Amino acid sequence: MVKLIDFIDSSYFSHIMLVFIAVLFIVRPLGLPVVVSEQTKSFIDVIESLKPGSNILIQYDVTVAMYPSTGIPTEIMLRHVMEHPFNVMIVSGGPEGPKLLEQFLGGKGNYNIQEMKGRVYGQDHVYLGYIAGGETMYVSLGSNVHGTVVKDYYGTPIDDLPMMNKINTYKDIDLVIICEAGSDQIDGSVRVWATTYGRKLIADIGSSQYTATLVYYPQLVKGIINGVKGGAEYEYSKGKPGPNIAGSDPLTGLLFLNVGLIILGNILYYSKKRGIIK
Amino acid sequence: MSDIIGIIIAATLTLIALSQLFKYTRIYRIAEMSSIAAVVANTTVVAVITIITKSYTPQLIIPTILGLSYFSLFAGKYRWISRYPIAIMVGVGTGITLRAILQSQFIEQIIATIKVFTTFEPFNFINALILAAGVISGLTMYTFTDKYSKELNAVRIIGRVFLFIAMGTLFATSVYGDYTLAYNRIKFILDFFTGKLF
Repeated sequence: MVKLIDFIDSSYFSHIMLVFIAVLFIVRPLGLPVVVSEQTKSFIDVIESLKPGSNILIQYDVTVAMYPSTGIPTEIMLRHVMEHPFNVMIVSGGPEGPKLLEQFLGGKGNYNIQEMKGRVYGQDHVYLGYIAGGETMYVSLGSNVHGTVVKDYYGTPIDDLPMMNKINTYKDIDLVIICEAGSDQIDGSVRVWATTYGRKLIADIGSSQYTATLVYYPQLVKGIINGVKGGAEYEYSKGKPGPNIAGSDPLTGLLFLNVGLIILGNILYYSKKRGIIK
Repeated sequence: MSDIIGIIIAATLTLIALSQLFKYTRIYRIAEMSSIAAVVANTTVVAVITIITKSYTPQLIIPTILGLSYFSLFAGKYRWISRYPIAIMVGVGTGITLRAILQSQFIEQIIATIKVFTTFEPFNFINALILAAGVISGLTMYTFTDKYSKELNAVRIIGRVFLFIAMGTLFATSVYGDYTLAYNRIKFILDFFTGKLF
């Protein structure tokens, strides 16, 4: 009995349970209902309220380590944006962004952009690649796009790209979408785009960033996608079940496991403390 | 073929990384170092390519010179040169941040707290009251001038509860993010063994 309790109290038990619950819900999903939050609904509404031909800047700062939490939900957003007749300018403030986005633009993502007919690179979407400098770079980009970036990711001078003739300063950008997974990047992005330049801003962020972003909602950040949970709500709203909805069941299962382990841990702790278990 | 090799390497490294849940081994260290090395290598290559492809333009000559000046740190006698780019970066960075920090993280937050009182819907009004109570009581936690007042201490206790709730939410969302990563890797391994990746 004591050995069993010690085993339950050890980290091995929680690790075994974590793997077991995840596998169980992947193999046998329960199909738990997806409730679309106000933040996700606002996010979609902001995109759909834009006029055709609007210019969108996507700040793609996704990292390899956080790709499951931010990158996969970002794919449904990119697909949604690309389905509309918007001019999409994408830029990465982190060196890991280009490789990840290259996969999506190259048709290797969960949502294949190559399937979307009528999208022509340079005319309705441009990828500027990685630009160093963080917040300072974004301020510079907003004040003078052509002065900050000379060539796009593929080495083409941006003056040769027809779409870029329509975008010179922040005044030409109708919407900024932040895709971030980092720890404190959201504050800098809000300072630049919402406060300094007064642009409409929405954020597609990892779950660990959700609380930090929520403080700006709805004053400065008009909509939020909260990691895989937000991605699942997005897919549900658009009627396109994908990897985010598939992941929501196991994640809910893991959260229930977490709550169960906290309760069990407390029972064992107080039982030992009061001498019920010796 | 290269995709298949990549998938096999990724699956092997994932299994090695997951082995750390049960025992910390040397082979886990190899997987850990490989991961860090891959990110550093990617960062270096992307940075070098960026410099090569984007710096050969007149308007980027001065920034490139300033960037290269950083390397004077390694040339003992001339390391003073590196102070100039550092001073410029710190100065510009601080100026840009300070310009907007007051507005976004102070004034806008106060406006958001007050603005919710303008709503006349019952539930929103209750939400507004809770928010205001949380902000005011939370702020008293950082007031150190009235230490022995019983009334203020009572408000501080309420503030502490609000701060605990806020920190609990922060921790919970962080755990959710970590579970996303764990789930993704477990699914990858399952897909690998069931052949869905090939």
